[in-house]
Formats: sequence, C-alpha cells, structure tokens
Amino acid sequence: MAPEAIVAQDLTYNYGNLVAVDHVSFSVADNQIIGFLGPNGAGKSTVVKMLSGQLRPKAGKATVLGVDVARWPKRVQAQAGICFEITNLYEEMTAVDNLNLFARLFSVNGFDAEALLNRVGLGGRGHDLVSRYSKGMKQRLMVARALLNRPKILFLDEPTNGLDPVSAEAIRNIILEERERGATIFLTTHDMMEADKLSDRVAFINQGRIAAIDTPLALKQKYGKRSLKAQVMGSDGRLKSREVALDEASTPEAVSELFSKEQVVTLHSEEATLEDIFIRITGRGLV
Amino acid sequence: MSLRRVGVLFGKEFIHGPKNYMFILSLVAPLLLSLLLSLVFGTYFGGKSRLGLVDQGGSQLRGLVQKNEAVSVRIYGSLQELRDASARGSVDVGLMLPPQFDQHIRSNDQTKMTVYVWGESRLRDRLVVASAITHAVHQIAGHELPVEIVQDVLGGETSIPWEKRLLPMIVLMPLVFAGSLVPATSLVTEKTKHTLTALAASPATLGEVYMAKGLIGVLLSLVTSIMVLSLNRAFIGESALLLGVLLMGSVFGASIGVLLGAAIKDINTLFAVIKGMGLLLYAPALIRMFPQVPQWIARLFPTYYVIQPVLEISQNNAGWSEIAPEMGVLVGLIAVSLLAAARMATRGGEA
Amino acid sequence: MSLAMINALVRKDITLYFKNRFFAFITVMGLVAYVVIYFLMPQAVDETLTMGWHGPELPAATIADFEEEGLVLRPYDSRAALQKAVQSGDVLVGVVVQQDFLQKLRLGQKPQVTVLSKSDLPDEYRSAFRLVLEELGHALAGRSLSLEVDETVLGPDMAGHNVAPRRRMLPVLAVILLITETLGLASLISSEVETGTVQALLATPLRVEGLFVSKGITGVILAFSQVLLIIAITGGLEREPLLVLTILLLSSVLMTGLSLLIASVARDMLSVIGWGTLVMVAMAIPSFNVLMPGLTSGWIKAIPSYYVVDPIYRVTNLGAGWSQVGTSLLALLGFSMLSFALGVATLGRRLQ
Repeated sequence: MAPEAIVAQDLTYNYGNLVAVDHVSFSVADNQIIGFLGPNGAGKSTVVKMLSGQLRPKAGKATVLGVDVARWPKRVQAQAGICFEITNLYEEMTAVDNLNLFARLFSVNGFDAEALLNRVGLGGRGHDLVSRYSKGMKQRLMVARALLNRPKILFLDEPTNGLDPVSAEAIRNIILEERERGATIFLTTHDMMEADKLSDRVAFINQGRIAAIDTPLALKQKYGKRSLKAQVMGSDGRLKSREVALDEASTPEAVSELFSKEQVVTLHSEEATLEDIFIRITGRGLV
Repeated sequence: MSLRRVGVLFGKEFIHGPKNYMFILSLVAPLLLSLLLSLVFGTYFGGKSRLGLVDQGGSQLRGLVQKNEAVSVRIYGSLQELRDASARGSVDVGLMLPPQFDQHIRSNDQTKMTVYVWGESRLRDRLVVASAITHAVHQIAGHELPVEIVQDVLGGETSIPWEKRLLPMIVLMPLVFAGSLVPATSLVTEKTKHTLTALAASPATLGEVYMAKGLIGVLLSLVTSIMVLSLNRAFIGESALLLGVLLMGSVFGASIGVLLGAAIKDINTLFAVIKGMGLLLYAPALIRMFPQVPQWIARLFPTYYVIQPVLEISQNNAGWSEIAPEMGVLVGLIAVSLLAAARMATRGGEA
Repeated sequence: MSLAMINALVRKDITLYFKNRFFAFITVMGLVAYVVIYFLMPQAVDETLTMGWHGPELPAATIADFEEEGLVLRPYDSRAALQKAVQSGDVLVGVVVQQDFLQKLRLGQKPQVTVLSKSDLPDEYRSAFRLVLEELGHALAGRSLSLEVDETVLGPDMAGHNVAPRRRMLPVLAVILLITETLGLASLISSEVETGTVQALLATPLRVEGLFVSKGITGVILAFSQVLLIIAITGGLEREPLLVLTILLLSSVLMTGLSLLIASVARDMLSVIGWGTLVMVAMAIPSFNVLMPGLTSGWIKAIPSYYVVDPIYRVTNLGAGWSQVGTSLLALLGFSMLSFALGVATLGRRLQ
C-alpha cells in the first residue's frame, strides 16, 4: 500500500458559531492528486488551511508527510507549496523580487527565478511590477511561488478560479507535471470538469462534511446514471428536451415510444457528470 | 527563530520600504515638525518684546536697545515697511528715528519720533519697549542712571526656557512617527493585502516577521532621533549613554508599533487608534510645556520614561545612576510590550 | 438623481464611518481632547508687569502714569513679607528701597534699589523689570527727554483686554479638526474605489453627479458637525453666531473638496495619509500666523485656509462683523467652490 501523504481524522473547525468543517476524515496517498469539490462556503479552503498549518484544528488531527501539522506546522510548510485562494503578492515588487524573497525564506540554493517564470508562461515579464500584471498573470505567479521550493506536497486552493481558458489550461498542465515529478497535490475547486480531468480521487464536501470520496470513475459508476438526451419538435414549433434512462428495464420501450410519438431532431447519450452526482448526493449544485 | 530569515525580511523592508509613504513621512515629518514647533512656541511663548526700527540717521539707539535681553530688534528699510510690519504684528512697536536724532538729543532739542503700535500687543510689551527706548535715549543724552540697582536672587527651581520645554515633544516625535507608525502600518498593510498569510505559510514565523518590522522601526527611529536632537543642539551630555537611551526608546516605540500592527486588522482602525493614542504618547511632553500643570501627572504615561532620561542627560548632564530608575521602568515596559507581541505572534496563525 | 438615492448613500457612508465602534470612540475622544487642550491653555493674558514694593509711598501722578502703561506696584509692609510674596510667586519681582529713597533721589545721591527675584525668573523678564525700574528712576528724578512722540495704534487697540492664548488657539484647533476629517472622508472614498464598490454603485441608476453630491454632503456633515461642536463648547458662537456658522459651513465645503482631490490621487490608504499629510501641513500654516502674528508675509493669503482662520479669529476675538470679514468670506466661498469643483473633476476622471 502506498504511503499516505495526508491523513486527516475528525478534523473540525468553526468560526464562532459557524461550523465550517465538521469531523472530516480522509487520507491521500503519496503522489496522488485529490480534488476537493464543493460549492462556495462548503469548507474546502478551511480544510486546506488546516492541512497546510495556517489554521489549528479545533478538534481532530491531521498528519502531512508524517508530521502532526497542528504541532509542527513549520515542518510541513517547509516541504509544502501553497497557492492561496486570494492573490497575495507584493504588488509593489517585481515578479522576480517576489520569488527571490520566498526562495530566500525557503533557503533554496541556486534559485533561478527566470527559469521558473518561463515555466509558468511569464518569461520576459519578470522585471515588471506585479501591480501591472493581469489576473491570469498574477495567478501564474502565485503558482510559481508555490513551486519554488520543489515541494513534496502542493496545496492549490482554487488555482484556476476566474481565469481565461488559456491560463487555466497552462496551470492544469503544471499540476500534471508536478505529479509526474512525484509531488502529492491537494486541489480545491468548484469546477467539476477540472476535478474530473485532474484528480485521481475526488471528495465531495458540502456544509463542512465529506459526502463522498472515491475515484471519479467509481463515483460515476456508483451514483451516475447514463441517459439518452433527445430534442424533439413540439406542436408549437419549438424544440423540447426529452430524457430516457439507459440502464433501466423499461429503456427499450421508452426509446421506442420516443421515436414513435415524437419528432426527434437530435439524439445523444450522456453519462453522469460529477456535478450531477454531487446534486444527487447532496441535493444542491456546485455553485 | 532564524536570524537569517529575519535578515531576509529586514532586507525586503529596507529595500522596498521607501516605496511606502509612511516610511518617507516618518523621516521627514519629525524633522519638519520639530523645526515648526521651535518656531511657533519658542517665539510665541517667549518673553521678549519686539521693536521694529527705521533709522534714518545712524543713531546709537539701535545698538543700545539690541544689548537688552528683554527686547528683540528688527530693522526695516522704510516707513511703509515699518507700518506694515506693525500692522500685521511682526513687531509690537515700530519706531522711526529722524536724521541727526542723536545730535538733537544731546543738544536737548525737541525731537520727533514716529511710533506705530500693533493694536494686539500687550501693555507690558509696549511698556518694556518704551522703557528700552527711553533708557537708550537717556544714555545718548549722557544721563547717568539716578539709582543703583542691586539684584538679590532668591533660591528656587532653575527656569526652563521654551527651547528646553519643547525638547520632550521633539524627542517623542521620531519615536512615535518612525518607531511605531512604520511597523504598524506595514503590518496592517500586509494583512490587508494578505501577503502576511503568504509569509506565515513559508518557513518564516510571525515572530520573525514582527522582529523584521520592528527592527526597521528601531533603525528609522534612532536615525531620526539623532538627527532631530542634533538639529536642536540637544545631542549633548554623555553621548554614549544618550545613544543607549535613544536606542531603548526606539525599541519601545517599535514594540508598540508591532503590537498595534499585530492587533489591528485594517488601516481605518489603525488611523483611528493613532489619532487617539497620539495624546497618550505625547501627554508627558505637553505637560512639560506648561509648568502650571502638576508635573507628576507625566509619570503616569509610558513615554515619560523615555523622555525623562533624555532630558536629564541632555539638559542636566546626568549619568547612569541618575537615570537608572526611569530606565528600569522603561526596560519593564519594553519587556511587557515585547511579550505581548510575542504572544500575538504565537496566537496569530490565523492572520 | 433622486433625493432618496442621495439620502441612502449619505446614510450608508455615515454608518460605515462609525461602524467601527472603536473608531467612533476614538473620534469622540479626539473631540474631547481638543476641548481639554483648549481649557488647559491660559484663559487670560497677563498684560501687566507687577512688582512688589517695600518703601516710601511714591508720587501718585507718577504711579498713575506707569499704571496706565502696564506697571503695577503692590505695596508690602515689610521686606520679609515681600520676600515671601516673591518666593510664593504672588509677584514676580520685589523692589526694596530705603525710606529716604526719594530724598536721596532729589539730591542726586543715587539711592540703592534692591530687586528680589527667584532664580527661575527668565532672563528676558529680569531685563524687562530692570528697564522699567530704570525708567521709573529717571521719572522720579525728574529727568525728562525732549521727545515728541507721534504714536499711531494700528488695528483695534486691545490693550488691557488682549486675546487670551486659548482664544488664539481656537481657530487653530478648528482648522486642524477640519483638516483631519478630510483624511477620514478621503480614506472612505479611496477604499470604495479600491474595493470596486463605487463601480457597483455606478452600475445602478445612480449617476456620477449623484455620487459626488452624496459624498459632498457626507463630508460636510462630518466636518461641520465636529467643528461646530468644538466651537460651540468653547464659546465661539457667543458673537455673531450666524456669521461663524457660515464660515464653518464654507470651510467644510472647502475641506470636502480637498478630500475628493486627495481621494482622486491616492491609490490606497497609506497614500491617502501621505498626500493628506502634505495637504494638512500646507493648510495649517495660516493658523500659525494667528499664534505668531507677523511670522509670514503676504503669500499666506494664497492658502485657502487663511480665509477660514482669519475671519474666525477676527469674529470671535476682535468683534468683527459681516462687513469687516466680507472680503474673506467671498474668498472662502470662491476657494470652496473651486476646491469642490476640482475634486469632482479629478475624481470623476479617475472613476471613468
């Protein structure tokens, strides 16, 4: 069995009377990407903060890379890279200055800021003030900062939120490269396609609790339903949607009825998305 | 705590700090304000009466009046200038001496003097200036003083001229501006922009961050204090001891600044606290400026234990034994504020 | 632009301003502090030079002349009593002469005059008393000078009822309070621009003009109410209240315009403080002229706050009325309008 990079037991956190994380338990194997999927306010960022030593759990325990994070947060942080949900760069400094500062704090020897900036697609812009960067550029710089100490574990809190497709894709590629390098990646997102594409395992979190945790395929197999989705011409001349479940006993009859009684304009099969599964499990959407 | 990381953070503050308005303000403001204060209070509350003079004949009167410590003399080039100066209150009394004034006085000829009096001048200033003028005229006329005046000085406290009364205020300004404002605003800004979160999630601890910010405050405060004291010709006495006291004062100012920055979440609140705390910090200096206020009240304020040793060394050439009690209290205050800041650092993982 | 919108925005701004209870408390504390400073300042001007006297009674006419000019001689029965009075501070200086003082003076025999004073008497005072004594000596000796003095008092003659230091401070305190509030409003506006909420507001039926009107009203309310409170508590409304209120109102408009200007150039809170401090120092200069008349010359009239400080000072202390300060009032009106217009123009450009 692969060693576990993260083990969380009954992690709990509350902000005053609000229980943000409610007795959450899970584990993440080494060199795995785990996606925490949930709507805004579900508790994803709070879990990240506890695992990365930014918050001390009110109850429960978490070990990251074998270290009790509540007891030794700095030991965990020394081996971790964190990309925060909120952009928190020194805007009055250049990108190179930002990276060099943190490289020195991490005691990274022979650090090459330009090389890292090239890697995240910011080559040639390293000596510009961060205040002049676009949102996408700032996010790439945030990711770069998370990578500069070649971390064993990466905490990426909604790294592609609000980005254009090109920047988002660039960051996803970096995530996959890091996994190839051997890092464990803890990713939070409310983009189900991203979670589906990147994650080895996905955890659904809602109202501070994990509703389900497994590989995307397993979740779809367990909770997902295939269906035929058709658009038919209505009597008023407008297109209407029809859906027929594909794995039921009544499927053949339902398909036959569809074709006999309706004027089918388009037809395609569809498997359940993670969002469909999330809604099915939790009763609410991802946004 | 890693001194290396403190050094890295200090270096960042030092290099990029001047981009922060507060950094520049903390250097410039104490210098400017100390000059302004000396000018305003030194002149307004000073005891000298003011005479403006236009001398059309090269009279001895000017030199005779200037010898008097009770009167300051300003020379003007024309009657109109003299009139304007008197009208706006640059002088209490303006006097124009006609040509050959001295000769007329010696010959006992009737001589006319044109005098302008500033309407808002005090009676006593008019009396003193008039007395100075008549005394000088008597001297020109060759009249000997008809009485022998003997001064009998009774025991009492040494008087404190206004330049010295201002010194506490002047000493405190670098401490407040540079020492506490720079770390406080820097910390609060980092919180507002969430860069403190990024630092706290690196190997750097909050304690190291606070120490780096505090060190910048100490450095700025110390440099500015020395400059301000030197400009006001007050960096005298035992220099090494004075430097030591200024250093301790800077540490105290910086520790307050770090504490404020650690406790306060946003600039609006910081600004409000600074507005309010300003009085607490400056209270001992204000009390010192007005001797009619019971001076023991100043001991209730923490900054008293910074300014009092400075004054003792600078004005009374005090040595270590004379300032030891105040220094003891100051060390205690520094310890308390540093402990409080350390506690905030350990609790402040949720920055 | 509807009144309901303006009302809603003004209420929102004032609520936000005081939402931080600590901030509100500190603002109140600041007001209290200004009042305390005012009442700590001396309330009267000691215009006379008072000397204790132990010796023969002096000629009434001579004494009356000197009293009119500000010298007060207070008789004491014994040297010991006089010494005690000097040491306790009842009089600054005591003069002891022998009983045959006047005879010796008439005979030209140079009688001795002993001056008692404490060592803490400043040298300027010591010299001043000596000068006056010397003149008294000449006058008692019958020595006159053949001088004809053509004296003109310039401005209202305040001799005997001079303006007390605390009354001089009043316009200074008012201006400093007004200036401090410019920073408060500027920071409020700047943070709205920074956080983008102003864009959200302008994406509603609210127009830019409405936004500025509401900010203007907020600024004037905040500044005016605070300065009015200070002036009222310190008795500044005793003379010509309507005139004083007009000056304060126009001053508030002036400062509000400056707030808008500062907010238009400041990028964040710290730059608000930075720019604001520069403005504060410039605006505070005319108030120093009240404390130290004659410190500055004509150029001070180019600073808008001169037209706040000067009329307040003259109305509250020198009994000036509408006609005497009319020109200053007009200038203040002009500067207020200009400052507000500039503030609106520059901030409007930034918002676009």
